[in-house]
Amino acid sequence: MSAEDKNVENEEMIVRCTSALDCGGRCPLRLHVKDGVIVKIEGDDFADPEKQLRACLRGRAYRHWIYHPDRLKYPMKRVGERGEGKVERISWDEAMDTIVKQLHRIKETYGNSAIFFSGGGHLGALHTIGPLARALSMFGGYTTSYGNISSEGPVYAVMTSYGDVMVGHSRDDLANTKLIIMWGWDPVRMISGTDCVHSLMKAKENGTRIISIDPRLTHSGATYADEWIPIIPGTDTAMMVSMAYVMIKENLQDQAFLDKYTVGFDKFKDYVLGIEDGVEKTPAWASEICGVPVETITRLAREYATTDPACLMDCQGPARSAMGEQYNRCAIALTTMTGNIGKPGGSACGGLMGIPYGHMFRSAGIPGMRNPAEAGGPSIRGTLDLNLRLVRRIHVNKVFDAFLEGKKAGYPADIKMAWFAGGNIMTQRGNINKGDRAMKSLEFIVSQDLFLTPTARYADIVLPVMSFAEKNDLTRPWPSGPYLTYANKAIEPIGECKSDWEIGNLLAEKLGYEDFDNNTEDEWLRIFVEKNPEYAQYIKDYDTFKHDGIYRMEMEEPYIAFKKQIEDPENNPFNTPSGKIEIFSERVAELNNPDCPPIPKYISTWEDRNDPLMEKYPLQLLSPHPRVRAHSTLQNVDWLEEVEPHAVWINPVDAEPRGIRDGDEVFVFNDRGKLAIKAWVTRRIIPGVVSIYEGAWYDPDEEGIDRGGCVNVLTNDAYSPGGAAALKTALVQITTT
Amino acid sequence: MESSRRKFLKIAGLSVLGLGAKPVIESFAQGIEPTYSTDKKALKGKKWAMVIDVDKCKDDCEDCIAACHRGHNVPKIDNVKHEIKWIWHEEFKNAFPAQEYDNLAERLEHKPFMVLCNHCTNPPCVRVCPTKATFKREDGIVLMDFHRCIGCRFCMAACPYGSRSFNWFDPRKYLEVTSPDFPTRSKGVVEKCNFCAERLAIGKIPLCVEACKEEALVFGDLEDPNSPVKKILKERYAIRRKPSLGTGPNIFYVI
Repeated sequence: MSAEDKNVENEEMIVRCTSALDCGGRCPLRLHVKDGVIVKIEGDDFADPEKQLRACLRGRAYRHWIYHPDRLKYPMKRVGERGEGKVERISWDEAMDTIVKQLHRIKETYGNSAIFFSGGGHLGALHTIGPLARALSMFGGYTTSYGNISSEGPVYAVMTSYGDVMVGHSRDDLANTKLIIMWGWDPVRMISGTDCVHSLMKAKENGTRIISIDPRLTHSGATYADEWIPIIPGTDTAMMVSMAYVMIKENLQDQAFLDKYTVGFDKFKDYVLGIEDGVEKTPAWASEICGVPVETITRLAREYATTDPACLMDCQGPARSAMGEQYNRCAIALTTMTGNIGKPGGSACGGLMGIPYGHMFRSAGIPGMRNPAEAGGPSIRGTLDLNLRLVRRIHVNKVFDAFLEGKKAGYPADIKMAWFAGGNIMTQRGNINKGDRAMKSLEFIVSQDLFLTPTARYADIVLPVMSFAEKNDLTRPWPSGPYLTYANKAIEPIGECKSDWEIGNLLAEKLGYEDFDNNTEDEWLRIFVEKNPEYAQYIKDYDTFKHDGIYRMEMEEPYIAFKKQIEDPENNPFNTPSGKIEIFSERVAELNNPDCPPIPKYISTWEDRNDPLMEKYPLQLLSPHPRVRAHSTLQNVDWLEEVEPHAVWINPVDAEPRGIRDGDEVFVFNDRGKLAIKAWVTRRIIPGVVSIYEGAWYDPDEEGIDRGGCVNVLTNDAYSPGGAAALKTALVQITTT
Repeated sequence: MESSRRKFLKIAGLSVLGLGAKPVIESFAQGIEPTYSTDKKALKGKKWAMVIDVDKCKDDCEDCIAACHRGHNVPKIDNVKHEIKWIWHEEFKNAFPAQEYDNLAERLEHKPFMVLCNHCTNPPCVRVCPTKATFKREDGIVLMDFHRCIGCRFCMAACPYGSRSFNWFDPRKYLEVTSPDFPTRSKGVVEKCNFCAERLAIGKIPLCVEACKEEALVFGDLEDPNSPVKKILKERYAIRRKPSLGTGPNIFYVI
């Protein structure tokens, strides 16, 4: 080898990549690769600094995740008890042969519906669980879950009110408003689009007033807000309803907008004024419930109604509760009353924040096929009746219960085997201790992941999966572009890792399905870019796109949700039965469920402050997204753990009588479980509420105490009438012993 | 990487930038405590502060700014949107918005007030920094580890004084001369006044104080009853910037 060749070999290459984790951003990353090893990760270097898509601390720490010593490198089989995590290396052949044998056995003994399949983790176009689902469908099908653990409240609300999920503005529009109300929204932590925090910064520089309504002074509140309005969890809707009361009483609502674009305001007004039920929803009424002073509610109602434009940002967190959809529906009612829909600087609310530019819902993928195990179910297209959706599927937060109870409890199947293609179910669903029993009740479990996650510890066969840096794929921003990204392969797979796509193909091969997939990675990605309408519209040259790693869409002006519908309603009706924004929904009225009323209402519920259980468990529990993980991904990354150790937030008012000092190890418990965690004593959370970030890995000791601090050992496996996982409706107690 | 980076800094003589200090008031991080040697001449304090005697400060003088910016390799960028500043001038109404009133003394109304990082007792910038790149040292100085800064600018949003600047471009291109006594920064990081932590570590007072011929700037330890700042504050009435925010600024203006 000549000296020159050597130099070339030692040269540092820069590979344009993005992560594909389930986080709020999708950040262009520059992976510096030397001798086949990533030696440095840098963020976006786009020439115009105003338009840079800057990575957060997670993106900067990926190197310690990709090269984590605990990465799974080989297929493993279980050698200990379920949950113990004792595994032994085996070959891919042995792993797949075992799986195929068990698939046949389960199918022949119990039928296909006894196979449960679900996934999550790599949000790409090609290397997803789609092919695996297709192979299993060809095998006769499987049972899966319905819904998204994060967002069913908002989805139900926007489908009821607008009939459309694209309810966001492009984030640059935040700079056009005069008032931002962050209602439970903490974008600094969960990001809400890579360009979001920069846009908030610009709003702040413009002098926009920013208010944070939250039980905690969140990182976003601390960073941007001029005012923090603390509120009791689960009572947001009560405060919103009373703001509507103030607006109606003082005639501040935009009546012309309501008359032209909405139906059902009168029915909402009857409820607000107490004509319907004899209870006037005054600020005094709300103050008793939500803990916000009457003057603050009144002032905010006036300020929101009279500031033009004003941007109410509801989100998904407060909606992950027992009556979650009411919060988003009521936020929609407020932004409708103030006429802020379809206009720059306003907002459509609804919590989803998606825009139809580069949205992950519109990504490409290998065509799927119908799951035969779901045949014969009712038509669910467009329905607001959750029960119809649960005829053939299991609610996402009820999977454990379904494993244990099966058909006799009304679930669609008696599950005997589960295949988890990513998606760390043993930290990311409610009531994890029930999950422990449920997982132990199964006959056979497969898990595929990068690490021996709490879920994988229960599996009979564990398959090692590549990180995003080990393959080429098209990735998408979470709820908002406007841009498209190409994640280039930077390094060879670690150990014998395969991608989810490759595992799907391998299963098909083992099951004997010929010609299942004859395309290479590059062929597929080229097909996606050519055939997917959105890629085809913007990407004229695949190789340039691959080289650049990103395509930034030029927008003449910010994208505003429902602009067409507002500017020209005659030709652009809303996608609802009435063609208007439905504050009152006839479709919901037909369900005749008092807990799911046709107009948004505040409804008291189980495990709120009115529950007699308060005597035993007097603290409300929150479980927000962490800043140092993407849900349960990035656990154990030393750099990230260093900046924010896992802890329970507790107010000094609650800490002192319990003898809890900052940094003490405490136990948080209720009837569902008990966990050990350090206490962070802080005035940044209101008295009576404690908070533990979700995603920490479940790690029970011999007594069943979770030493990992997984908040979901305390949460309930329940869902709201609209389908929201009720993970933020939970009461707990804290002690030092 | 972590340990090697720290080793490098130690070798480079920059460990005084505070890597060894307890990081953030709001945390119980148990990071590795690196060991480093200190200069015997080092000035040690418990709560460093500055008093500015406004009447002594001459309107047309910028000696303190020049000395600071030269000594800290602060680039000169004219575009207001992209400028970098550690010390700068502000009119009364901007520096002390809540304390402005009609008929304010003429000598104050248009006087250029020298402003800088307040090294707050409760620094909001520290509270929001996601990487602990900015932290409060035990001697009260709010410091930055430029290597840890990811350029999210949350600290800039949180600081009510505009004391922080962001390097939108490579600052080295905007330096006419480079001082060897302080590191230059790279593009994409935030910076601000560091109360000359690197000079205190070798027994020297801050550059701005040294440069002020009028002796309008006085530096010292608020916890030391004999310190010059304490002596002045015992006798003279002083105001601070935006005290109602509860940040506890440690820069005092004797007016």
